[in-house]
Amino acid sequence: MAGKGGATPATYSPSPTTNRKKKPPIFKEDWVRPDGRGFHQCRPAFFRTGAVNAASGSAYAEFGNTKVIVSVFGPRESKKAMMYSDIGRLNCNVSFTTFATPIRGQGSDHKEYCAMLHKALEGAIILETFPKTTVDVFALVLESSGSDLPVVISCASLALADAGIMMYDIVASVSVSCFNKNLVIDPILEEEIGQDGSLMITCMPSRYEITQLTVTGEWSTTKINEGMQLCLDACAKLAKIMRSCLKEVASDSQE
Amino acid sequence: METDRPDGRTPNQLRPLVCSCSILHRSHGSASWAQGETKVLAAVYGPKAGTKKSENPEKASIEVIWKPKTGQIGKVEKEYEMILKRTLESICIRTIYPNTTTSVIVQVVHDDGALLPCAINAACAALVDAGIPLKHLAVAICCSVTDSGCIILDPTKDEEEKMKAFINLVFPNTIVSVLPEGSLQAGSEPMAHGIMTSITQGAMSVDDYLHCLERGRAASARLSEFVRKNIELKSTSEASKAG
Repeated sequence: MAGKGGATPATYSPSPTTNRKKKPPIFKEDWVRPDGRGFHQCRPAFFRTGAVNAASGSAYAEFGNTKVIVSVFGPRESKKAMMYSDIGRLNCNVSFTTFATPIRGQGSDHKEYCAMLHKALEGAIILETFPKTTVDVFALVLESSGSDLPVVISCASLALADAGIMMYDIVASVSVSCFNKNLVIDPILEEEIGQDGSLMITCMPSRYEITQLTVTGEWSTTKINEGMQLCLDACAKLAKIMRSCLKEVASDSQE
Repeated sequence: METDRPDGRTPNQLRPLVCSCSILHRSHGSASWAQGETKVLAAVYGPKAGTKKSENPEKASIEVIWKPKTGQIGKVEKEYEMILKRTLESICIRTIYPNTTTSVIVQVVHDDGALLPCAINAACAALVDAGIPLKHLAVAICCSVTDSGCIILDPTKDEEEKMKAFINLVFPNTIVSVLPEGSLQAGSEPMAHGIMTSITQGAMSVDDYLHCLERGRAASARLSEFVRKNIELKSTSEASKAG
């Protein structure tokens, strides 16, 4: 077949359309963030409570293109199989819609999110106020566009407040990514893929207490301190937005 | 603030450490790590051909499988797998074997507190035993904060249950490294002053966290020394066998 005279060229050269697109010079010294934000600038945040009618409390959060909905059920009677407990139980579940990620069904890679959400909220909820009962927190990521877990945690905290679960303080969560010498707050998916390290803080801003701090990648002590301060400042601002959202709902219901 | 501990240790004192390598013959590398009553067994298989899901044409993949002492794997174990995976990815030189997967299987033999640091130390020792190229060693330690604000290192299971909060810290052991000098700098500081992984549980103040970091780093020097001695003993015994 190859012998047919002049049917195929001797060498193959790809057409211009099939050439692989070169990635933009991201993460170099003078790079600009893909969405045009400053290094220390968070994405615009939007919160709304009462998104699910059937739940005791619920909240919807949107950080840029990351969209999350959290429903809280309970406190309700613990299952018979569970042993007696003089403090309440917290049951957390995080799931992704099949269309949440760029590749279908990629959300199943984040199996550790349930345990991390539990850890983050456990320190803020006054579990002693509902002994022998369980509070269920179900989070559904509608669209994943980076910094999913911090958004889920913040949204879950708002849903718990909406459900009337007693808490020491509202919980806000922010993550920071490290690229060479730069610290980038609230990274998007593209940035998370290329990061050298990440730091996520979940805190109660009014009490200046941390309920969860997760560090991955290699960080120096000065970088950690800088990143922590950046996160704590962002958490304080985020908590203000969350409080104003709750106040709006309360004032609307009074009217 | 001194704290009386049930086993008579001081707040900064670690439990006795025991590490033995090459204890499994079918695996490429294995290690057992014990801290007091907590004991973990780690086995490394690979690098082997990458599966469709995990293969990466630029870097080697690391797969971690956590086997609990009894029963099925739960949410906590899945989280441990993920933490371990991320920690090992940051110490391995992954560009050397692209398109391959290295499996690390962690079997919990007994859990008496500080389980995750114990597993990280075991996995690190097993990787060394398997001859997987590492940037540097990693040492993990657990610090816990009491209700009175006192910090204790390497808590037992009973102590963990009474604690307000605890932190698992992983530090790089970069006194000696295969990488060139400049790459061991993180900004202006040497990487030996850095941190690789930090996982907290429970509520604590920022100051408590920073104190734990200081205490953990001080204790990690002793752990590093122990790990190095173990590896040196193994390499000298192997050299004498070969000779």
